[in-house]
Formats: sequence, structure tokens, C-alpha cells
Amino acid sequence: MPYDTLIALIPLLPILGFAFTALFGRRLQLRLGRAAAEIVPVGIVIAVWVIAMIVVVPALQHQAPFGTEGLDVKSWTWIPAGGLSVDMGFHVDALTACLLIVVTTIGMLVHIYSIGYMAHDKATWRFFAYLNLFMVSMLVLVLADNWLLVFAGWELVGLSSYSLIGFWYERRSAALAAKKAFIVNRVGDVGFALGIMAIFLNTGTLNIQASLKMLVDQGSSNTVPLTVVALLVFAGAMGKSAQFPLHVWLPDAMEGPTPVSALIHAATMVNAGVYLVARANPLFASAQDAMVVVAAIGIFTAFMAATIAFTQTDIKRVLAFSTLSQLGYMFAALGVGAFSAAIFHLMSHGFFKGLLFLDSGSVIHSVHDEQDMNRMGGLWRKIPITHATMLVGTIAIAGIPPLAGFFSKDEILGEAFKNGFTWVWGIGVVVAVMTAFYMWRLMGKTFYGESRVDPAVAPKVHESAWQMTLPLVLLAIPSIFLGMAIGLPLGNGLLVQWLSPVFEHAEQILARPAAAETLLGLPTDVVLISISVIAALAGLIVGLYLFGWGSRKVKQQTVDAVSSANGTSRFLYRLSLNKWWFDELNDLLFIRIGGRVAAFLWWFDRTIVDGTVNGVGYAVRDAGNGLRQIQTGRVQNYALGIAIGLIVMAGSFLLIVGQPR
Amino acid sequence: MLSALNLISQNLDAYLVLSGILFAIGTFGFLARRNAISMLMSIELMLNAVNLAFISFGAFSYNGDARHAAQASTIALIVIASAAAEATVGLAIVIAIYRNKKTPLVDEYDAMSQ
Amino acid sequence: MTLPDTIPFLGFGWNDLLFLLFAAVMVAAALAVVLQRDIIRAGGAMIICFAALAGLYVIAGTPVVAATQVLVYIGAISVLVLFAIMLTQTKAAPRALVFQTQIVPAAIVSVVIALLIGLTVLATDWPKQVATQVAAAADLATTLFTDYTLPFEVVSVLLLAAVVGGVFLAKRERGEAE
Repeated sequence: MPYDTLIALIPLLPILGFAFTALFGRRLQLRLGRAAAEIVPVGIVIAVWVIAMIVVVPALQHQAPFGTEGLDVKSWTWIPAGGLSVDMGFHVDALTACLLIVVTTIGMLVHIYSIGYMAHDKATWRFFAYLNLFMVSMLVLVLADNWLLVFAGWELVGLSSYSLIGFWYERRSAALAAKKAFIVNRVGDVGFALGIMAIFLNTGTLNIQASLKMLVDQGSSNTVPLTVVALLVFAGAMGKSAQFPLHVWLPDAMEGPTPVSALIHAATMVNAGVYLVARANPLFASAQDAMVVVAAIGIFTAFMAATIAFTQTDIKRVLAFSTLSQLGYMFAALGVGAFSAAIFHLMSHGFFKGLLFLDSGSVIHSVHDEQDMNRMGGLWRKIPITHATMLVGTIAIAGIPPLAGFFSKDEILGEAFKNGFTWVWGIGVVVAVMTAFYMWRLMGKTFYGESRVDPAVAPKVHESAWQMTLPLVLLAIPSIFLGMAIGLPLGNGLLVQWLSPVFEHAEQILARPAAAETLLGLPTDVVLISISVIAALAGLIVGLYLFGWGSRKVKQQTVDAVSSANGTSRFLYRLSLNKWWFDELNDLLFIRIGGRVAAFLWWFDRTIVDGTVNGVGYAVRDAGNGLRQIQTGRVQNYALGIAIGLIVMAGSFLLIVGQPR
Repeated sequence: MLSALNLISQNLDAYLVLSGILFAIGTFGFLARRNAISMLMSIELMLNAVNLAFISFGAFSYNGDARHAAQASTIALIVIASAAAEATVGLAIVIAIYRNKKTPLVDEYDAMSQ
Repeated sequence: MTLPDTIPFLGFGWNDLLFLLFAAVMVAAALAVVLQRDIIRAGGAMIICFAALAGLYVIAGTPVVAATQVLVYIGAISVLVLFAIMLTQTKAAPRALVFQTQIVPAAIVSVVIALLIGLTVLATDWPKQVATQVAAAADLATTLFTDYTLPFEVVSVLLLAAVVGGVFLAKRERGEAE
């Protein structure tokens, strides 16, 4: 089958799956049981994964027909409107291939996992329908060859996310969280839409490759300055990838079922923003001020999220803030010009964060829907597979070699340092320490130490079904080996080679000088790597000691210290626990103050605008009423009118025409 | 001072001013009286004022042709005849309405009002 | 003995004296017509007004019209009016209001009309005339029955229609009580 057809099938099959499940799922589930409703969507996603793998291999290696520029597949003209012509077309190059790997693999594993996780839910068919819809939207977003189609996929992803977060819609908190996610996304989408319009204004075309080339060629003769365009596009990325200040929706999004958190909020949807900036890399490279902004926001988000993760007690919340933090790393990488490193971290993070989320789902499932870590502990003997895979994920995220996280994180930090962004590097190292710390805190509280599980639940704690543990094991494999497979040698691994045609234009524009070869007498790379490893180990030791295997006395001391802290420490603790009070700030600004403004505008509309319109009506009516008084029905009154008219006419005639001779 | 009135009867202005005054009085009566027959009497006054104006124009018109004055008289005669006809019909109407409404006061004749 | 041209004390001629007399009577009678409460008196004042007007017509040199005025207006129309007054009398007449509510605007309007006409007339430069023409009956007859035959015939039809109409309108309905 020619590649054109295969590529077109990739988004097409999930559309069919969604339609089929939406139309027939309910009846199938009622009559024939869950499995009947699940076969089609899960089967389709597996098929998509197979097709994607077939397409990805030649695409990454620049074989025909992909070459170095990628393959363009044109389906049909969507909007033929004179000067604006938008095609429904797809573009597949190495970058697309990387995203395809992540999206389809994790998507498939999440689908399989959900069979087990949602086995007791009564609306399983709806869940799978939405999951398929999500796959469609993400695939369209990644495969699109023009900005408008990307935007369409972008919005669809927001919609699917809304449906999935609020899947248990009878729960008020879930409905509110879904609404919050959608609205905050929309704020970013406004920026993105404006960015697309600016691109069209500058170049007259919406095709991604063509417009990027034109934008760079036109340089400063663009109608809308490139910095503005880049910042607008980044605004969209901020919304979707939950960067500060549009990050507030991600923690609340944990209201959705855990497979949703794994798929959308760890591995795919939040990566859309990173993909967008990476895809637009020539644009950003030509607007270096925007890149600094990206880096700053990214690393700040990483830092802020890490501080908040210190004090959270809900296992999924910790992972959510961890996602925020790692996304910040990715944007920091994009901002300093380390595009391949960002994509590398995107892929490895997708795998190990997906693994961690699915693991947490397994843990929650085994302690019967308990999510508070303070009521877990000592679980490592009872749920061994979950524990082992989660351990793998934690080592990966903490950045301990030779697992995937170490390679990708270190490449980011190394590039930051070498490109002169020492402040990014410094903060990044601190965040690495914090990451290791809070992840080991999570492990310690959940699995180690003595059991604080509710005594009624404790005897029923058991390992999850094979549909849930199989994906865990399958995800652990790339978490271990991905880094070694495509990350070596550091800075010039397979992935870098595969992605170089995508980013070479940007690299040319940036034209960074070669970094210093030695630092403090040793090769630069060795120094940087050592610092990263030491940071990770430091966090590990402290975290495990305080929360895992440390003596009870030490733990008690810590708890005492925290609860009796006052002054600055207490403030910092509360700052972290309350998520830096951003939700309260948003509430004040937009709900309270915005509410006042809206109320005033409503008053204005009611009283003044409606009043004017109604007032005209009243005025006409009253005038009519008044004029009606003239009709008395009496001839003498009319005769008086005639006489007055006569006088007026005669008088004006005499006055105007002039005195008679 | 009274000698200023000399030859006033030879002055067209005087006749016309008189006619105007009579017309104004007739108008006032027509607009201000409540009785329908008073209104009709005022109309007669107005018609007479007009007659006076015609006659005086005829009296002071162009000299050469004797028929000019006669023309004014003709008009005046026709006006008198029309006034007679109009008074007849008008008074008949008032009597007919009086039979219906039992009053000659025009205040009551407002069936056409809103 | 011939009469002097101007009356010794007053300074104007005999014609002028007559003119002024008739004019004063006419205006006074007209005012009485519109201002009198008692409508019979108003009718009487109207008769006097018509008589004064006849005098003015004579001074203006149209004795035929003067005669017709007396015959038709005083002899027929005024009688008709008096009959109508008698047929529409109400008991409450002496106590009822004489004037309408709109009397003030009416008065203003009348005064303005009078002023308009008066001022216009006085300001106009009328062509001067030497002596009053006397419209002889012969000339009047010729004009009326040759040049204006059609209007004459139409007026007779009009009078016929008026008579018929008047009779019909004022007739009592069949079976209606007195």
C-alpha cells in the first residue's frame, strides 16, 4: 500500500472508531457486555499503531519517499476562497514521526489499560468513544500540513480533553475541572488564532512549510513583527501545555479517570504545545527575544511546579505538578535553542510519565480508590509489579543514568549551559534536585515504611489485572532503554541525526558559536554530567531518608519541624501547599472583579441600550397619544385650526415675499 | 382732525378696512359661540363682508367701461343667492340635529372624536 | 340753496358723514351679533347690520344690490334664522355658557386677521379714482343676462336644490312624535 494511503488512514480509522462507538456503543454494552463495545475502538487503535510504525521507520531515516524534507499528502481542498486556499493535507517528516511514536504507542497502551481500569464503570462505551475522538484530534494536529488544520486539531483536542476530564460528570468537581481546563485552553487559543492570522497577513499562505520559509525570508519587512507572531503562537502553546500563568487547569484535570491523566496530561495533549513551537522553529529562531521569553517562562514553570509538588498529598496531584515541571524543562530547552533535546525529553517523558500515571492508577485501584498518600504505605510487598514499574519510572524521571530521563534532561541542561544560558542551567539543576526529592517522597509515602492504609481496606489490597499490568511493563521498557538507544553519543545521538533536517534552518539562523571545550580543567560534558548526577542522587537520598527508610525518630522530627514552623518556613510551606495562590488570584481578578465589570455591562445593556430602544417606542407612543388630543370631533376646533393655518400662511407670505406695493 | 376724514367715502381703503373688520368679527363669532345658529349668523356676516369688498372694488375700478361696476354687482347678487341657499340648508340641518340631540349647542356634536 | 361741500363744524362732506354713520352702525351691530347672550337679540342685531350694509352699498353706487340685500337678507334669511331660533330653543339657554373654551385663541385669531387685512390694504397702492360710478340697472341687467347667463341659471338650480334639500332635511320622520 502506498504511503499516501497509509498516512491518510492514520487519522481516518479513529474517526470511524469514534463514530461507530458513539452510535452503537451503548446498545452493544447493554446487550452484549463491555467487551463487545470495546473491541472496535481498541482494535482500531492497535491497527493505527501498526500503521504508524510502518510509516515511522522510513520517515525517521529519511528514506524515500520521505527524504529529508518529509512527505506531503494532499487530500482535497477544504477552503477554496480566492486568496485563501486551505487544503486537507498531511505532512510527515522526522518530527512528525517522533510525535507519532509517542501518541500511538501510549494511546494504544492506555486503551488496553482502560479495559481493566474501567471494568466497573457503566458508561465504558462512552469512555472509549471519547478516547478514539482524542486520538483523532491529536493525530490530525500532528499530521497537519497547514496552520488551520493544526488549529482544528488543537480545538478538537481541547474538546476531547473536556469530555474526558468531566467523564464522571455527575461529580460537580469533575464538571468544574473540565470547564476550567477548556476555558483556560481557550485563553491560549485566542493567542494562537491571532498568531495564525498574523502569519497569513505576513505571508498570504497557511501552509506550514511555505509560510515559515517566507516569514524568515521576509525578516523585518513583515507586516506583523516576527517577535509578536512568535509570542502569539507561544501563547497557544502556553494554554495547551499549561505553562505559567495558564497552568491552573492541569492540577484540577486530575478529576478525570487515571488513563485520561496518563494519555492526555502526561503524554500527548500537553506535548502539543511543545510540538507547535518545535514545528515553528524557524519562526522562533528569527525572533530571539521571543525565545528568551519562552525559556524564562519554561524554567519558571519548572521551578514553581516543583516547589508545589513538595507538599501535595494526593498522588495524582504530585504527578500533575511533576508534569508541569517537566514541560517547563521542554520549553526551556526550546527557548535556549536545543530543539532536538526538547523533542528527546518529550518522548522520554511521555513514556515514563505515562508509566507513572498508569502506575498510580494501579495503586489507587488496589487500595480501592484511595488517592491520599497519607493513607498508603508499605505497599511494596503487596503490589510488586506496580511497585517495580513505578520504581523504574521514578529512577527515570529523577535523571539517574542510564535510564531515559538522565539522557534527555542532561542534554537539555548541557545545551543550556553551552549556549550561554547559565541562569537556565542553574535553575534547571536546582529543579532536578527538587524533582528527585519529591518523586522519592512519593515513592516513600506510597510504598515504603509502615502501612497507614485504612484497616478495613488493608486485607483486600491486591495486584491489578493483566490488562493493567501489561501496559505498565511495556512502558517500562522504553523508559529504561530509550535513552541509550537514541541518545548516545551525548549531543549527537540517533535522534539528533534524525531530526537535524527539521531544525537545521533554525540552527543556521541562530549560529551559535562552539562552546568551550574544557571547564575547570575537565571536558565540559563530563563536568556537567557529574553535576547532574550528584544533584539527582542528593535528592534521592534526602527524599528516601525522610519519607521511606529513615528511622522513625527522623520522620517524627520532620513532621514536628513542619507543623511547628513559623515565620518564613511556615509561609513557604503554605505557599507551596496552596499552589502559590494562583487559583485565588484568578478568582479575584476574573470572577470577582470581572464579575463586577460584567454586572455593570449588563446593567448598561439593560438600562441604557434597551432603555434607548424602548424609549424610542415609548416616545412614539406618547407622542401619538398627545397628538390624538387634537381630534376632538368638534368642528369649531377644526375651524380654529384652519384659521390659524390661514394666518400663518398669509403672514409668512407677506413676510417672505415682501410688503405689497 | 376730523377734517382728515374728508372724502373718506371716495377712498377705497376705508371700504376694504371695513370689510376686513366685519370679516374678523364674523370669524370670532364662528369660532367662539356655542350655539349652532350663532355660528350660522357669523357666517352670514363673513359673506356680507366679502360682498362689501366686491362692491367697493367694483365702485373704484377702471373708469372707461361701465360694465366693470356691473360685473361687481353681478358677483354680489350671486353671492347673496348662494348665501340664501346655504342658510336654508344649514338651518334645516341644525333643526334636524336638534331633533336628535335636543340641544343646539355644538359642544354636544362630537361623535367623530377619538 | 345748495348744500356746502363740507359740513361746517365737522370738516368732511355729506357723503362722508353718511358713510361714517352707516359704518359705525354696522360694526356695532356686528359686535352685538357675536357678543349677545340672548340669541333673539343677536338676530335682531343682525338685521340692523344688514340694513347698514345696504346703506353702504348705496353710497358705493349700487342701488340694485342694496335693494336685493334688503329683500333677500333682511326679508328672507333673517326671518328664516329667527324661525330656526324659535324652533331650537332650550329652557337652559339663559343659564348656559355663551362662549367656547377656545374663546381666547379665537379672539387672538380674529384680531390678527383684521390686522393682516387692514395693514395689507393700507399698504397697497390702489389705483386712484375720480368719482364713484353708479351701476345703472340697465347695465347690470345687460351684464347679468348676457355675459353671465350660465351662472344665473346655475344659481337658480342651486336655489331649487336648496329648497328641496331644506324641506327634506327638516321634515319630521313618519310616525315621530311632536
